[in-house]
Amino acid sequence: MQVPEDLKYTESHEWVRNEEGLCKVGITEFAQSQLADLTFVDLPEVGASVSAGDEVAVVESVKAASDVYAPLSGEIVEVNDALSDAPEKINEDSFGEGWLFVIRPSEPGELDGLLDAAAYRGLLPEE
Amino acid sequence: MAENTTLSGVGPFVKLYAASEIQEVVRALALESRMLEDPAGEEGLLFCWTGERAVVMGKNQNPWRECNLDFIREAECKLARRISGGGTVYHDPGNLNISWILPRDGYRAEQMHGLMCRALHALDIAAEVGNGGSLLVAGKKISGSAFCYRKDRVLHHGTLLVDANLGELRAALAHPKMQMETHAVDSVPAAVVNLKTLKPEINKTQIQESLVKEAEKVFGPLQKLETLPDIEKEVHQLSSDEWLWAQTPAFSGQLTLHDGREIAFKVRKGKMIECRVEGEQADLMVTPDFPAGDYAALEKGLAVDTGSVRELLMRNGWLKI
Repeated sequence: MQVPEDLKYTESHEWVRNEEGLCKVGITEFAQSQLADLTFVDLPEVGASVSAGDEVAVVESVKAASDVYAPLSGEIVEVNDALSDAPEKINEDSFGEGWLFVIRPSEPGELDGLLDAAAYRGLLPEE
Repeated sequence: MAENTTLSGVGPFVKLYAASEIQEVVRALALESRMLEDPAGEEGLLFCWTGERAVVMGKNQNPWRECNLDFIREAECKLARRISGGGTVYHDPGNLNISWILPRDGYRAEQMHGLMCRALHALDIAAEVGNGGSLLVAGKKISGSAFCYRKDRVLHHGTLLVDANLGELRAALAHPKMQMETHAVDSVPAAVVNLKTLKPEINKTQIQESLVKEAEKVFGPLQKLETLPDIEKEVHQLSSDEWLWAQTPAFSGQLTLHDGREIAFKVRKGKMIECRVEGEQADLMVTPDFPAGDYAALEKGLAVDTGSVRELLMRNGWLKI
């Protein structure tokens, strides 16, 4: 199971990539593998302000709805609109083209509180 | 058959709550939601219950597309939206609902499907697992299943047709012919059968007992859930207009005015956010509640009677119950 070293993670299986102060968020390969083929994505609105831990998006595969939580507090500045027509991108490339939204963090310190790759890997079942 | 017992060997952590009374559907759904969030986190639950007559849609579905709202209103059937994905189902006291709430780590859907099949095999019912986790006997569906992942836990639930009113099931789920475009999740109709038809002497108690027996082989003895948590917050949330109607994923619909002009509208989060008349953007001034909002600005722009847009929406099936 892929767990890229340069990302931060949450216990609820989101990943965060810090790109010069803006944080791109998606769900991990483990999360997408449990869900199988995704058929539906509901993303937050650009401009929405969110708190860490808020339910902000939903993905659904065959009969499985999975809530996605904001890993950080801040403002949603971009969402991956391409997913509404092509939710399968999350299955195909969960750490790349399958990103969900970008947050401008209001509490940058929260980023340090997230899990690193080694700690997140420790949460996953043994392969 | 899934023989794997990934979740076993971690001790008797699954509790049992077998509700003997007929449940209000929204309260049963609220208990599932509450137990999924259980901050104690370590405990699993097997919740067996039977609900009142209701139509229950998946989290990301459109009630105007999936349910026969006229029937539901006239038959005084309840309408609910659950937290899991998947399609719309019909419940009545002839269903046995089975809900598992488990830690996500180590959970595998096939394991739970296998367990439920074995419980039915023990009663001489040749159940097998079909597409998307449905349970079939001789090619006909006896149960669907749906799932919700939240943080580190998963809800896996399904409704078993024991002696349900299949005529009402078909009527309640008959698709209205509404014109709309949406990415919302579709229901997939299937040929269904009651277990009672396959085995006339069967009853819900036997099935439940067999299920508990199989579950104990995997999880160890199931202790009874003694105290139910406070679920009022969840009941309130799942009963709200916001959840039942405004949660509907964005969609576009169409109407034809009395004079033949075509209206295309877009609804998001329970509000009409956009409207085009013959392709031209109309001024809504505000974003009226859908469907029963105030369309005065639109009606003025269209030069039609006050209240006529709402009336036309209702006449075309865009109503709330």
